[in-house]
Amino acid sequence: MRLSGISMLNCHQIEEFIDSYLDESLSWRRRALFRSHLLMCRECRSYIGAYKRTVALGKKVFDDPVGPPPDDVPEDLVRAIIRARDSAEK
Amino acid sequence: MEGTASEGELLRGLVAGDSAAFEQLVRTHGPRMLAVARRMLRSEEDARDCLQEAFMRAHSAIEQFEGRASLGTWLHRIVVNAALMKLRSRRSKPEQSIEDLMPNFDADGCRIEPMWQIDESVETMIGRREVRDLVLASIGKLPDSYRTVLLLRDIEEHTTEDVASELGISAGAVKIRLHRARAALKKLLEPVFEKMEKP
Ligand SMILES: [Zn+2]
Repeated sequence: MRLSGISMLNCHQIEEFIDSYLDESLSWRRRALFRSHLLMCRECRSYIGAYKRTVALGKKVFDDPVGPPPDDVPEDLVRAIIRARDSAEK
Repeated sequence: MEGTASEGELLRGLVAGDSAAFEQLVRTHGPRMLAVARRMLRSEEDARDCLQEAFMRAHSAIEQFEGRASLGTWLHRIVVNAALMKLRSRRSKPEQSIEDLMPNFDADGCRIEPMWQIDESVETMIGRREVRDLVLASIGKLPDSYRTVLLLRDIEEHTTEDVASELGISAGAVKIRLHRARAALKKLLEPVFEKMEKP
């Protein structure tokens, strides 16, 4: 944030509140401070846009229906598991 | 195992100690469980051990399965716990530093950040092979203690408090690790965000 003195928080200070801001658990006062910083700071707006996108991509990458099918279990591992179970039975 | 009738049948076989039922369990649910083990553990050997341990635990605990969740959900929880046990036994190993992947600030605390232009939807992006590969590879690059928290919170959707007790750390430490993991991942994913020319 380039206009120092206008907002009470600098970019470094808002960094630790980003997750609470995104999951809406910030207090009303902190949220207002956070938003006023964002209004004036394009670097933080850009950063948070990419950060939010990162979180979304991370969440999506494992449940994408067009993604790769679940891994096959190698046959030797299937046999090893069955052997282990059989010896536990005895 | 899709239909509940066949799941009920499978379950009765398992409780009766039928070895064919156990084999069917491994073949039906093993692939998904192995995928979970592989994404939580770095080495193939650990993932294989983890899958085996998970099935042994399922085998000895099958009578406690109450059928409130599906068998798949129950097994999923078992394999996640088995992977956590493995990670815990590895924790003494030194980890690579995550510092290089943290956001940059100048001496006044001002962020140094390119202007990103992200127009595509998440769905479109993740549908692109190279994006998906980079996301997976980047998650794999995170140090264990950060990757574990990211996977448990963002992918497995455990609560902060649950992750704290699973890992034996404070809730505050979980929050810090999650934030640092996400920030590091963001840095690693920057090649897929488009840079806007500064006016
Ligand atoms: Zn800022």
